Amino acid sequence: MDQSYYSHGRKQIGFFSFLRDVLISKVPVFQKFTSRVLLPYSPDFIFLTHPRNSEDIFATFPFIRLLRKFFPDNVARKILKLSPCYIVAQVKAPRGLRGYIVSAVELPNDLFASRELTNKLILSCVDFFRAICNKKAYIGLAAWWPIVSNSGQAFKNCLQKEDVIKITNGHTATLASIYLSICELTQKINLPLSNAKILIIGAGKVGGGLGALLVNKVAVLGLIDKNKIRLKILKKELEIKNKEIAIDTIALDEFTAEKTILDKLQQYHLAVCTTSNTDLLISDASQLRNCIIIDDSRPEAFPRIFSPEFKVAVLEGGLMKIPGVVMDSDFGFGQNDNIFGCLSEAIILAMATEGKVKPNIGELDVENLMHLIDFCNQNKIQPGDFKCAQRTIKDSDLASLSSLEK
Amino acid sequence: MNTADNIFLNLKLIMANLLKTDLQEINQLATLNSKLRDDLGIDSVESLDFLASIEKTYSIQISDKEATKLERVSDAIDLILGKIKECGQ
Repeated sequence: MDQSYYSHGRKQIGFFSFLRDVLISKVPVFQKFTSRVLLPYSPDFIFLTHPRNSEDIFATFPFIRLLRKFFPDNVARKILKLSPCYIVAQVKAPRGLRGYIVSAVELPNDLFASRELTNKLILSCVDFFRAICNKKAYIGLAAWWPIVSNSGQAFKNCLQKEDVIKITNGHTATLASIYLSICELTQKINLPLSNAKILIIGAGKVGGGLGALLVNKVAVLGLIDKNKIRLKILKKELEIKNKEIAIDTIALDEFTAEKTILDKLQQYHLAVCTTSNTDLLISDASQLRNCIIIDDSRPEAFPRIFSPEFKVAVLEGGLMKIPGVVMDSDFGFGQNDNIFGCLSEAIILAMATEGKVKPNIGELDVENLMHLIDFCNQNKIQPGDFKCAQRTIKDSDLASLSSLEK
Repeated sequence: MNTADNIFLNLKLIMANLLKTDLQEINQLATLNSKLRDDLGIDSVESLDFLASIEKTYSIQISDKEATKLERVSDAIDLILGKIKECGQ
């Protein structure tokens, strides 16, 4: 995949911002003072993420890129580990709310490889958040953070009783955005949802939750996962909700995964990818034909392509559109009001002062999901634009995919 | 009393919760000899939640090194029994 896709419009973090965050995390005596003096505001919400690969790090920190000329990559990265995380972007939201996008410097594989390292990092991140928050702030967990923190539980374990920071794992808004996107997309391609054949790739928490939302609304549901037992149990659970529906389960093995996915894409109107992979599931975009994929995986599981000629669209998944949101950095699909579902969850929680929508830790709470969808409807918060990387796909272009025969 | 039988039952409850199923289903799948990954579907992603649940239930800490040695249900029971003994619970 083109590396510029990742780094296009990305805000770069200078040496003084690096130094500020190291001071905040390393000098406890001055923590509150440093953060009040050196930061423009105390946030209402924070979005915690991590780099997708080492190039993300070098794209974000130019002075580390410079060090790379003289030292091995791991030395440069060790310098960054002086702080558990860094403020990489600022976000303005409606109602005067403001937040930060904060990123650790560990890569997904590092987080996954060692629970001890990850738990220490979580503790340090929580200390960092406390230092920069002088009032209540919601922390939305992005990318692999929910997976490596037991759906946010490991963060919650580090909190004090009346802590200023509140953790939410982002599952609720992510699932809401995918579900609302499916409803909108099927309309745009003139496919009644009740006739739709939908393939869910990844039967984990978000995939399973999506299956539960769709099982009574679509014609055929396909479930793909590497884990046979998880598939079997999820199928059984969904069949209890709807005995009539055809549910196809496909267990992937590592040798034939690519071929199996390509074959299955031909049988479904729409595929939604919610896997927690670190590599692309399909590496070559030219292999994709006659399919529409909403890819919610971070890092991406499918290469981005939109081609009416070959009847293929790989769309960004999990985007929400909150009118009035502005970011000062571009994470791959612009700086306007299209934002990640998990970031939108933190913003929505900060907006929803009446308290019906609650932070989510652990399993998804369906009642909370419904409250969040209600809140979105009342506040003109919609699923994000249909985007293929930077490009917004027009309705007329989407309609050109409406003749997919399945 | 934390006997091997009690721990086995607790592990089955943890697995049922993780896999979002009932104890009856897990009883059919899990024996002492069952492999966590191949027979019970506790893969690398699920194992993070599995280990966190064990740590919470028994108030113990499982190191990365100990975690990598867990292959079967019986390994998990032995590890928990050993940890409980260490703590004098």
